Amino acid sequence: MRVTVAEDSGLYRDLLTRTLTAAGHRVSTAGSATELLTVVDATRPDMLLTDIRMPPTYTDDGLRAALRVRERYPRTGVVLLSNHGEVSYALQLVNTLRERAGYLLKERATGDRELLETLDRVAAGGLVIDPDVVALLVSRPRNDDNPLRALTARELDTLKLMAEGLGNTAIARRLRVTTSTVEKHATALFRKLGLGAPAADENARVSAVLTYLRHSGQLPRP
Amino acid sequence: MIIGAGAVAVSFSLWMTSVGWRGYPERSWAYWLATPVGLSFIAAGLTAWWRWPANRLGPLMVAGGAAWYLTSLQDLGNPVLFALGYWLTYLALVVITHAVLVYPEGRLTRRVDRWILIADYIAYLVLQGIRYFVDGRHGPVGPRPAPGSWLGDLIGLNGLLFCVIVGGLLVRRWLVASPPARRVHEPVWFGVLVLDLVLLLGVLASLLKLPATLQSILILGYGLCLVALPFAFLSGLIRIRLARLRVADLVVELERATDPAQVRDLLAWVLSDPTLTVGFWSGAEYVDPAGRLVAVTAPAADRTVRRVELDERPLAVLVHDSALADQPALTDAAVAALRLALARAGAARAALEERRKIERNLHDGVQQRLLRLSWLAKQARTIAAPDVVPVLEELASEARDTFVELREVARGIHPSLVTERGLAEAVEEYALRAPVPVRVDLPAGRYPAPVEITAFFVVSEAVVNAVRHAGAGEVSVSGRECSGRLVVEVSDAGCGGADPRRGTGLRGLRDRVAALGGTLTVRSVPGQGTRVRAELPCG
Repeated sequence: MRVTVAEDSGLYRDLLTRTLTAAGHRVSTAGSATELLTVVDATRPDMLLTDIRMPPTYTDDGLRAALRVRERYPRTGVVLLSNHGEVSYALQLVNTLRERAGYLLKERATGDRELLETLDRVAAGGLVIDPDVVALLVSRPRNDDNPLRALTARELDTLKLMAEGLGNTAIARRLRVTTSTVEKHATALFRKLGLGAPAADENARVSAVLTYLRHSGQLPRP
Repeated sequence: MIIGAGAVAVSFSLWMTSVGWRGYPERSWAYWLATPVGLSFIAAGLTAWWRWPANRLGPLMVAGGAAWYLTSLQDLGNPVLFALGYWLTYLALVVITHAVLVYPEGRLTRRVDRWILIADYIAYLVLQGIRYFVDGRHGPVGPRPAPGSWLGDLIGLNGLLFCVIVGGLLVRRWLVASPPARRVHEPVWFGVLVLDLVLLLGVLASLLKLPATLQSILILGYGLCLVALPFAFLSGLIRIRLARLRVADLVVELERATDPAQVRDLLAWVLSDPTLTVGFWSGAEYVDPAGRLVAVTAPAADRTVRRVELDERPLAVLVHDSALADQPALTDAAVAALRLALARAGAARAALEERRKIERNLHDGVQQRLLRLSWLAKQARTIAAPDVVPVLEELASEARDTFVELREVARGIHPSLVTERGLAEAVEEYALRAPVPVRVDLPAGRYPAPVEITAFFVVSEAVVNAVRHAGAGEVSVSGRECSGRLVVEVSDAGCGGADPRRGTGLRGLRDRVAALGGTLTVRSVPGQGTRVRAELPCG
């Protein structure tokens, strides 16, 4: 597929380009959020792979540019690369785009397999969240009254994989169980967390689970 | 000097008071009214002299007060002293006019004032001297039923003329005065004008031979005005001092001020100059809080440009009413307060900027190189001989771990998420990574960057302490905005007993908070947990 890679560090952009080219993708590159928009307009890629923190302001320029790209070209997949793995940005991404989007830590993207797999899943319409970001949310210390404490180990594993964006079949394969077992875990954990019935759509599940995890243990925002 | 002059003036006055008014059968109400006038001038004059030795106003008031009693020299029975007392009977009024004209600087600033004063002295001394030779043999002059003559009336008219002239001068001063000057000098100018008016009516009443009751009332008003006038002088001088005291408030208020418009308003308030313009140095020119250029060369005649610099580096400029030039101590103090505030704000901003730069450099440089290193090791693995693979794998994971560690270091140097997403989100994000549950309840609003960053450091340091030293199982972070201050509290139910004087963490925090004009308090009782509370001015 046609991929636009936006990254201000030449070293890192180069390794991404080499990995993608080697895998047979056609790559166009940009070094800033402003350039990103021009390159996307010119090349109409299937996929945008962009750093969040980029010129001109070195804050979340990449994220904002990616959201604009999606407004203009709703079919373009978006994968954000994050230096810090902020949950804030991951949440904003899934809650805004709802599908065809991914959030990867930069160090994970140095693994060819992880990077290419993510692009494929996003291109297929999925939401993909870096496992380290999810692990941070799932494994953080909990108060006694935190509902996550009521989950069994298997249910926690299921929750984690759901948050990463995997469907029931993929989860079953990963945990080496049957799909119906995964469905049972899913129903149980949704009930225990008070999230109602699990949505069949795996992307909707990502958003629900991530939002839940991010705010569990926090006082409700006024 | 002051004590000597004071002792002489007071003893002379008391002596004269005791011997004076001998021409009267009994001491009338006029005596009781006239006697305190001179003493009141002496008392106020001595106070002014003592507080402001360089200002000639004090000695002049003492002289005027003592001169008030010269008329009683006529009552001593000595012909020479009689002549002297006769001649100088009304001198006190001229000396008081002198004091009015030198107020507040203590010297005559305009040539016209000097000429008028000289004319007043000469006209009085000449006329009254002639009067001695014409009328002197008829008996003493003064507040006693002296036989009237055309010369007495002439001296009355002369007094009247100078009354009008001095009144006119004061009205002119009032009209050209700036609001700050008006505020300070109001009591004196008003007092003198009322006195002038009463004197005018009194002389007119005497010349027109109006009924005695009316004349008595006017004399009574005249006396009361004279007794009160010295205190009006004092109050004027004190008002100048009070304005300087407000600079102390300014130092405190400037700490809290967060935007340039507030700083300008505070300075305008302290200097009582609503026309004040403050320009802040932008690196190339001075701009006012609204972003307009402030011209500093060739100011208008009534404007004074005052530069605020630190080590010859420009910080700001004040363009104020030139009337403030007669209160140099006030403007100096205000400028010093502003310099302090701007220098400190500059230092805090520079430190913040420096941290941001270091973090950016780490992010752009070393971190990207480590990622590439990790990637290269993984690439090499696919083509390397089998016995090298484990080493390459280790290399890749070492590079990756270093990257992750460096990321934590960078986050500690400058938590970029704070400036990107605000305090509340950054703290919630931080809480996700904390080793114990952290409850966060912070206002979602945005604050000035230094405030957000400092609040964040307070929270992160306090959480680390709670976990590391207090063994807390849970930490609460709460915050609210309260009358222009962001109050952030971190509390735990750990073992307590934290001493902010020990350990550099809390002390460093206190300095950071203080640099923004805030306060940091730590309440930590053994067995009762710890509460760290930061209050930061946030506009």
